[in-house]
Amino acid sequence: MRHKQKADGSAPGVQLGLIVTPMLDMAFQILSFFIATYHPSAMEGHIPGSLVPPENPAMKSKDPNPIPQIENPLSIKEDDLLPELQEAITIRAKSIVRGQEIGSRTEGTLGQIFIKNSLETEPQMVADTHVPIAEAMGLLESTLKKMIEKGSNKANLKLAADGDLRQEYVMMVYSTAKKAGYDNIHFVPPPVLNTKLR
Amino acid sequence: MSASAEDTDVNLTPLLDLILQLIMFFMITINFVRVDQFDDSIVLPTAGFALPIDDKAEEWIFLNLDAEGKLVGTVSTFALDTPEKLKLHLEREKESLERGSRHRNKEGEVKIVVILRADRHCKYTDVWSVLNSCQRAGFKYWQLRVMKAAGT
Repeated sequence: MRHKQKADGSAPGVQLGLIVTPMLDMAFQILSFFIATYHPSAMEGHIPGSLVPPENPAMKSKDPNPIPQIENPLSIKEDDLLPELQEAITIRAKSIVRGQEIGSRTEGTLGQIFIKNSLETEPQMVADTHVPIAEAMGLLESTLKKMIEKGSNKANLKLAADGDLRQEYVMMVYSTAKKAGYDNIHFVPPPVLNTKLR
Repeated sequence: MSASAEDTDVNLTPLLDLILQLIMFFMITINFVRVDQFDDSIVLPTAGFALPIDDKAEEWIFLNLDAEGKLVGTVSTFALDTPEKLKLHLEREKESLERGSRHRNKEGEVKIVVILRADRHCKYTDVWSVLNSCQRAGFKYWQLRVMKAAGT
């Protein structure tokens, strides 16, 4: 605080006033620092998962080598899955491959979507490549909801995406399945993992 | 004359206050901020029904995958161009974290969580390639970081 003499000289003594300018300077500097360094970490969330060790797999382990084989259509064979996962519905999300581009659908974007339950032999197509993605998600959600209404197990669902599919579309399908009411969504390794995994 | 000279004096007290406060702030927070935790170069995909970030694990390993499927951040200083090299690096990291935990007199299994921050444009196979290395390195828990969708 600074003591100020009264300018008009009408009354003797000092006037005690609070000088706020330096405080405001400091407040603005700290504010600008926080604005500049702010990261919206609260917007981040997580999807938990477990990495099953090879010696204690959630699947019935027949092969001690967990590295997927190229000739294997899925890195985990359907027969090796736990019974509850064998009965689970599988969503197959295919990606647009090179040469198959349609309009804005470039390589790595979402293509066809199929659903297969344990009772069906052939997967059922939910959306083709010409269906807009938002519409395809709506179709997927309604199909999944119908399956729950018919009495299918909503505890587990498998999501098998193509290796070339971009992560944002995998998450899109994941969100739709969650929205439809499925509790546990299991990510199935892509059909063909890169040969460098070997 | 003497009055005008008094008016031009610079009051350094607020400036010093500010500097000391900033120094204290940086001293307190600098140890907790890691580049890998919030790497802005990674654009996370949006997902509904994602859980809030939890800090219940004892140790964390952050892996950032860019749009090209390459690991960036502090691990990029190592030549981890094959899954086998990544696995060996992760094994060493795991041992180091477990050793550090034992030094702090913690007994039993150390819960180490691998945090995977995969860019929205990276391929699904790249995510699995990293997860495969993590699995073979002996990790049991992982979390996929996403941006929470509005209203979920």
